[in-house]
Amino acid sequence: MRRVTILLCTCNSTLLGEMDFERLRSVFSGNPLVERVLVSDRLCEKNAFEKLGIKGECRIVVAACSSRLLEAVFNSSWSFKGLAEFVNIREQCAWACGNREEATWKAIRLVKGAVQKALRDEPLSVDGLKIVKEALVIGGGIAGVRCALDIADAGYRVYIVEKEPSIGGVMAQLDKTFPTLDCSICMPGSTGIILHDGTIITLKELYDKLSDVERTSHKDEFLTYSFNSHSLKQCKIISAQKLISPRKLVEVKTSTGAKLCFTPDHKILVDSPEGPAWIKCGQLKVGDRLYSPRKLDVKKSSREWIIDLLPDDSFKVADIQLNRMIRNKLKEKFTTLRNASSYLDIRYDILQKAECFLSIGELKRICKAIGLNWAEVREKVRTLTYQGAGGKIRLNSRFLDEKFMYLLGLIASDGCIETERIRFYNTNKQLVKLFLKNYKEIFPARAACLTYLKSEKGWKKRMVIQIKNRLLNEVARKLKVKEDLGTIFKLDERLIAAFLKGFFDGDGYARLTNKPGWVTAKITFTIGNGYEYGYGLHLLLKRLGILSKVYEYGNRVVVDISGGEDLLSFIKKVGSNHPKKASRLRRIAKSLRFQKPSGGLFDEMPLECGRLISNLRQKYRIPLRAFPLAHSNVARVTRQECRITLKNLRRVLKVVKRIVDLNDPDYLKLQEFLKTKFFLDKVKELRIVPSTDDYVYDITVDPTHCFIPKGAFVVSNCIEGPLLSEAGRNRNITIIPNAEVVEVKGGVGDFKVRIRVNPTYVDPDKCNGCGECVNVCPVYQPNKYDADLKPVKAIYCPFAQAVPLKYVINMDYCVECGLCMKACTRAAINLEDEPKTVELNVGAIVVAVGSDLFNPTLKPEYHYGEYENVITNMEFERIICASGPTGGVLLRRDGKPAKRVAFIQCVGSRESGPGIEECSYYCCAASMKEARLIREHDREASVFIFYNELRAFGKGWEDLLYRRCLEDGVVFIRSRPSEIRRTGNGNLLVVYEDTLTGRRGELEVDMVVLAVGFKPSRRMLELAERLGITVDKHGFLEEAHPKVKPLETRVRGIFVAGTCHGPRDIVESTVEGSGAAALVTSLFRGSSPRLPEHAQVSAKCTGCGRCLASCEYGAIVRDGDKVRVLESVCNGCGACLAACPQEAITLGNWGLEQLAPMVSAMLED
Amino acid sequence: MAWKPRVIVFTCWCSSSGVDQAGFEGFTYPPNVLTVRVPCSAVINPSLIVKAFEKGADAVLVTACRPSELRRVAPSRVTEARVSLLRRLLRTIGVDEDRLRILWISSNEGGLFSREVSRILEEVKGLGPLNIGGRMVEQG
Repeated sequence: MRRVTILLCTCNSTLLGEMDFERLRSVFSGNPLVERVLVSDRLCEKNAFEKLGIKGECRIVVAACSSRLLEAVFNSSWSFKGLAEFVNIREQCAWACGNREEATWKAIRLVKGAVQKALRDEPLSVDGLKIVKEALVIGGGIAGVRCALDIADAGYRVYIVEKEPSIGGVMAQLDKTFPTLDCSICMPGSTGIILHDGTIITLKELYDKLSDVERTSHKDEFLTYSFNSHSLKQCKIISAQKLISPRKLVEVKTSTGAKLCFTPDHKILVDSPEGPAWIKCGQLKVGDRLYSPRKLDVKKSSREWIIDLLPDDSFKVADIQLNRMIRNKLKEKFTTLRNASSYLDIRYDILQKAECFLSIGELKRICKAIGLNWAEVREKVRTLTYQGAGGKIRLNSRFLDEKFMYLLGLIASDGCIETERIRFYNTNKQLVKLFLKNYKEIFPARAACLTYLKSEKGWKKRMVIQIKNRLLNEVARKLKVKEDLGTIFKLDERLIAAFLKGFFDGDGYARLTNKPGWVTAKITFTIGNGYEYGYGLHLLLKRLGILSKVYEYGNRVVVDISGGEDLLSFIKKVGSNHPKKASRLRRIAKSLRFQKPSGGLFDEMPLECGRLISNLRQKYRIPLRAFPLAHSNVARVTRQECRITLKNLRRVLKVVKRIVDLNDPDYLKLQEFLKTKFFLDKVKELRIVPSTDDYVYDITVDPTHCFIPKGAFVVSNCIEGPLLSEAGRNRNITIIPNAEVVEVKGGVGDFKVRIRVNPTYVDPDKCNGCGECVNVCPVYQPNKYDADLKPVKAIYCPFAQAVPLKYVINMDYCVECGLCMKACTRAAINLEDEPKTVELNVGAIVVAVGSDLFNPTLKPEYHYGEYENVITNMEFERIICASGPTGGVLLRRDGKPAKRVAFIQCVGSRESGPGIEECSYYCCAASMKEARLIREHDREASVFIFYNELRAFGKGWEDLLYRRCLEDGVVFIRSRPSEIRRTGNGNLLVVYEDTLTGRRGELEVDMVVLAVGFKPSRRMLELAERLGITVDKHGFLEEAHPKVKPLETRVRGIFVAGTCHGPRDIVESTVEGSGAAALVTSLFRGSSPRLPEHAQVSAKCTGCGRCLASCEYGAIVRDGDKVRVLESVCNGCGACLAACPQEAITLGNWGLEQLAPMVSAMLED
Repeated sequence: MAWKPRVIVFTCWCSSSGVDQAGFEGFTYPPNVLTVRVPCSAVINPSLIVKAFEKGADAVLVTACRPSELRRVAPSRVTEARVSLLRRLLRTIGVDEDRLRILWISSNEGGLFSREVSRILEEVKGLGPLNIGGRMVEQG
């Protein structure tokens, strides 16, 4: 027989005065249905039930405080399996009735009823549900990406469905983000950048040049090295910018000796198990491997004319024939020489002389004036003179040749360049002879004076060669042979090799230790000219593809070549003229031929190789013993614990080739690694250094957004980009671009989602993002990403850092000419592409679709769309962005620079008009950030912000945004302008009333930026309907509870994050992304997500189907001629109970058979 | 002891919090208001209400979430329809329809509940004891 235990709680004895517990106890202890009555002091105490000896499956009636306080405590564990009943004797009896008598009377009735119900309760099943441990994230904005990354990091598979061709969302369009204006990569102005023609230029000079170019609207193209999927490319620098320097910078030093400073936010490319990854400089660790180019190619490398290296004024051309020709031409052009003299500003007596010796500068001017080609004229110059002793020099060779460079190399190593002469010191007779021989060959008619210096104590006898040759002096100075070798870098490889040969003969040293089975060889240069010089030498070696290390040793700098391949190529390409050193090199080459010492660090291949090898092993079941390496070695490589060397990779591939399919993508990728243009450079030292300059600089490289400063390693300048590429690279994340969710069925743990993938007309598996198709496409379309400011072709890539980086065709504009199909080498384009349907089965869904922005044309008083200089803040972001359509110059659409800019806040928010009533959250900060950007770009610009209330509530918003804006002279006007008018010259008049002073005014500005708020479109409602969730009155998705369940929806297993459920900024969106990810993972890891109380259909069901329509959650489905409840979807609301005419549906223990006796018992006398 | 009307209040989970809130905030109301807590107002079967009248309740009150509070719209609408239908039925059998009421109470409206319930009790007092229950028992 069923009996009930009654628990009474005195609430810490506070209820004793208000209720007669003795009476309660006596009434029920005599009842045969009651097993026992227990009185407790505090039931809410931890383990209170265990202390009273109650556990497991027993029928209890708990008479205590409000069920919302107590019930949750033990329903969470469902230890009573639905057999516990709760009566509130505190709030409903003791506290609600005036006296003790009445309270006790009411409590007895309520408990009586509960006893009847408890007797009839049936135990509920609480076992767990099937959970598919995969998640779907709808929307690939910042919230969605953050969420997907966090779920993926917890080890679950995630699908991102994005309607656009690339993930990134709104944030991808932003220039910099508030309040810190981070985004850019920044480096000190002294950092060297190598341009496409080999010129090494500092960032500051480059910035000056680029900003100058913009002013003169004459576009010179600058290209620099960039990294694009393991290939070294020269890419265009589109802009540079200058920002205020932070106080601390991070100095990174690598084992090759590259030393570079960065702002801590700056991204650097490091090797990770998933392939190349961007890491913030501040998070870098010693031992991280950086991608660094093996060989620096320079495109333009023609002959270098000596005459072009000389200063314009100090040398004169002494070729009489040439001068005569020039004089004749002048006479033809100007009729008299006197006219020519006055026109060209050249002294008449020089022109008049029979042997008129013109300086190089004058000659160039004349050539320009009379239309002669300087390139032709310089070929005729053979003899030069200059003021001073022995002033006549005959040029045997008119351009730099190997001999000349060899001589310069010798001078660079052991020479000394003074103002008038060059001295070459040495103790080695052979070298001195070599020097003299070379010098005589280049300048046969010039003297070189050899003297012996007295030997000092302990020193060998030294010889000095003294040369007085202004020409050699000037060339050596121009090529900076004693400074940083920067100018030599752009010469031809052949000349660089000759220079290095000279340098090696002077300062180089080759060492060979040849013991049986063990060879070490080394070539070192020891330099006393400082670190920069050593690094210059390192770069010259890199031009030839020879890797070296630069390090400081005492007060000297050592450049060290020790890799086997590098030694061989040094011997092959450079070699030596010095008999002794040459023979040493020959011996090294001979020993290396039999046994190559590995290059140690420089031979390492990326960690990714390990994964690819492991994939191949699994696919083709290759046993460990098949590999030509030690087992443990292979195992460690495949576990990605260590990196395989190039040599071993070659050996592995030789074996693997015989087993695998040669078209296997993993195999092909490994093959590509053999040809890699990069090596991995190890971070050796990290230091925080104070910034020495007021500014830091940044360049934007199109389209890769990364570059290689000083030819050292790859760095990037993007904030969201790394996050996106991380998502693209993560093995647990599958991105489905161009796709929409069409249908969602099922419930928590087991959603069946149908997704339509719209055609892109380009096969993403084949497209490698080379961009050949864009070059041939004849059609342009407006560019959504660039706010329609710069058109793109009909086949396009959404933006430079797009993930996935695949091209798509917009069929609205495509004319189907087929040119792109011909251009595509991979046959990736298919104009007959059709929509595809993908079915996914996931356990949880995160909705992070974001929100649309308010359409300002709905506010006619601002004339957006009509006046071209009224723009939205999103368009402004693109204009001010360095990689945007105007290259970061604030231009109006008519091309004039905008000097006076007004921001109007709260357009479409905080109003009862066409927008929404809520604050749009981000725009105060965004406008202040934009104001700061304008002032940073142009110190003369004035900025006005029309605000209602400034809401600078976030961290750092007050000081970094508002105070800085005030200090910067941004004018804040408290007003909501009533109208914008246009003046004759395209300027705008903002009509406003200052609500602080009550004064009315009109302000003339060049440009008005409307800070538009969020306004969800109808699409959100459609999506909500598909998912079975609700929207609020503004059209945002609705959460389960705005405060305590802000990320859950009314459908269990569906979560929201980001601006799709209300206005948010980036920080909050990412926080919510991570929060939703935490909920998803706890759902996947938790044990019992099923609600014990769900609707049940009994046999009485006739299959009429009325309940189907009543269920908001779609939890009832047809099952043959009856219906069935999906337990995971059912929310236990009971709506179907009402709909069922047969009363066939029951809900837990809440049927008539339980409730009716309860009611009767309560009313019984 | 003078006659006191007995009122059964069916409360959904949200509105039962409202009832608790009344006691919490110190609003008192007569003790003969007996609450039956159900997960959702849609669970309240019309025969349960009839049963309550039959067993001696002088009035029945149903409290539920406001339909305008968006969440769970349908159950509240169902309950509303049921109650209005029952009221009509009561009228046809000669019972004052005001003995059955529906009240929208959300989880923080304790004051509203105590006010309303006291008012209803006064009205029911005016109506006097329901004798239909007794008649039904006698006849049946």
